[in-house]
Amino acid sequence: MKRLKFLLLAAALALALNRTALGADVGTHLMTFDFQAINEIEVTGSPILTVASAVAGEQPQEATDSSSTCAITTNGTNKRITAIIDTAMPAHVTLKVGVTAPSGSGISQGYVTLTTSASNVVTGISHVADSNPTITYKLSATVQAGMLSTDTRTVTFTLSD
Amino acid sequence: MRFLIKIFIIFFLAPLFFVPQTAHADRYIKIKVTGNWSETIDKKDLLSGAGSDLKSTYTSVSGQVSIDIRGTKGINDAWRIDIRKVDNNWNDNLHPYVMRTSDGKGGRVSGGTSYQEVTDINTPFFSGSGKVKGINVQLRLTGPSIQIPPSSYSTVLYYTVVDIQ
Repeated sequence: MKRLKFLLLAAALALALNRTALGADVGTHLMTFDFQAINEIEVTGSPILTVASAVAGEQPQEATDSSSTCAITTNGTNKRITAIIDTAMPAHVTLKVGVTAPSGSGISQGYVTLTTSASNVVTGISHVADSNPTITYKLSATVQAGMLSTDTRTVTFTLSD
Repeated sequence: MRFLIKIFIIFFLAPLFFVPQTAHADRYIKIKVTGNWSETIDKKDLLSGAGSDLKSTYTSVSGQVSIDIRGTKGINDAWRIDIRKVDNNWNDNLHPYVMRTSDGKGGRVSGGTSYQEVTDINTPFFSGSGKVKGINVQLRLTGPSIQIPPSSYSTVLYYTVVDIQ
């Protein structure tokens, strides 16, 4: 009989629990955020480099310009910046570029000779937004280049995998 | 005696767990939630183009979600809405918020008129009484940045109406 009383009590409890559970209904909705890949680079500056002096007995002095900057944003990992020129440099003339790594990410490859093939200038860039990396150009020529008239080159920087 | 107990369990105790849910389900307060929210976050969301980070806060329209409460026993039948999230693919840097932006039509509604973060734990959102239709809810997301890898992140918000009388 005691067992029967216990079961009756359990039954009452079950009823009470059921009532509590039935007192709660649920509605839902979804929140979705699609984060697209972002790989943005923007370069500013139109440097002018002139090789015009030399120390007697030595090759002409290299011209340097650090007035350009690039701004980079990526939410990806292990990205790189490459640089390429549109037309090859004249014989005995070399144009190099060096880009500082964005703050906290990436490795600068130092001064890289620019050619019509893309060259890595910064590698290993991940999750960064920085508008301050400096671009430095160095123009050099040997006496074999002779006198050259003013010429222009377009340097294209690309942020990619 | 054992035979009687078995009979008792089979014919009386066990059905208690099933029958009342069907028989009385309509007597309890119901909630209907309408509306989802999705956003595409891309380079257009950079604060000032290349070199800048993403906007850190996104806010939906005022009535992104609409809630109806029905099945109350009258204007004084009080209820409370608790809220929590269950993540599908989520990033811990993302924080969803909810805010009630209208009272709807019908009964009384109070609370929930400032942004409240939704976590994995059920938390009271707002309360009211009686049948109410069209309670608007605005949603907000904080935390986007370029530190979050490209992917589609989603979470489900659960609104539980609790009969508190």
